[in-house]
Amino acid sequence: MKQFVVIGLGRFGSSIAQALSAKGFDVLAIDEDEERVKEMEGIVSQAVVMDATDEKGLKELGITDFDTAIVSMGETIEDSIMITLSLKELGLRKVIVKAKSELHSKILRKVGADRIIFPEREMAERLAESLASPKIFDFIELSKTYGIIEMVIPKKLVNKTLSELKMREKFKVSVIAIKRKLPFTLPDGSTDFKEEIVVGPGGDDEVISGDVLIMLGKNEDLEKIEKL
Amino acid sequence: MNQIFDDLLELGNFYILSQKFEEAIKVMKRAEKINKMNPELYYNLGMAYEGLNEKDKARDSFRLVLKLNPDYKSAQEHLIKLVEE
Repeated sequence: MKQFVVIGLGRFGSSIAQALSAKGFDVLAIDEDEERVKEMEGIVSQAVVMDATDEKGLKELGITDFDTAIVSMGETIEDSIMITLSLKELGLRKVIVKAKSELHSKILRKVGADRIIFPEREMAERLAESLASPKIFDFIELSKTYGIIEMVIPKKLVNKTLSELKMREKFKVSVIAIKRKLPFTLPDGSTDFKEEIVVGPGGDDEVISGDVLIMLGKNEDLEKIEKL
Repeated sequence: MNQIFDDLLELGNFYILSQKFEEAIKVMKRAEKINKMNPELYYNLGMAYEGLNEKDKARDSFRLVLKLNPDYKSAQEHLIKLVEE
């Protein structure tokens, strides 16, 4: 099982620590602030009060046994640099660091960070995407050319099977899954939904109003479907 | 009059269960012309919009349900889920 160490338990750090823990991973959470560490106790496998810029201390904690570190320090870049350096020197395979600006990102890459994240910016971009079109629930950019889009099926395409729709030939995209809400009756006679996901749907699968299609394709082709 | 309303409500429910959400909306809109004070009507309307993934309209419908009956548990649950999404 993968093990994660989360350094810095601010809003982002504590959220990611909790989310990883909820997924069943071993999480070691570190912060200098006793209060923040206390809040993590019982949620993550281990929560420790320490100054993470202390390389010796990190080593004594057995940090080298972990697969991935997530460094999420506050405003100052110095601590992030020091910690990233220490973690890489100690031989940690993957170090993910939260950055505030492009300049910070460049410096952190130079000292060995494997991945830089800008949570606020990434969240803002996703929100902008979904606000721009309420039919689009998510967009994941796989590369500059390819992406995965999750969107409500356009009205023009409903009540047809996938082979009738000819998504590959007409739109050059692959439907990799269909998410739909299945209605059922509750004991009191009212209705409710449970979500069904058809992974790798076949040509005989019919799409109906309200279905959410998850499609893989070139970004330009995905954009064309958005406009249908 | 009430019988027609009840029949429309039942028909709407049937359409929802058959995943014919657009038809369900049409029927509920007809029922609304007879009675605007029935929380179940707006619950079904909310469900049909939710089924179509028209989340704004679904939220509005569930809010209407709770205006008419603040204790309508299923409507509370659906509204919370939609607001959090």
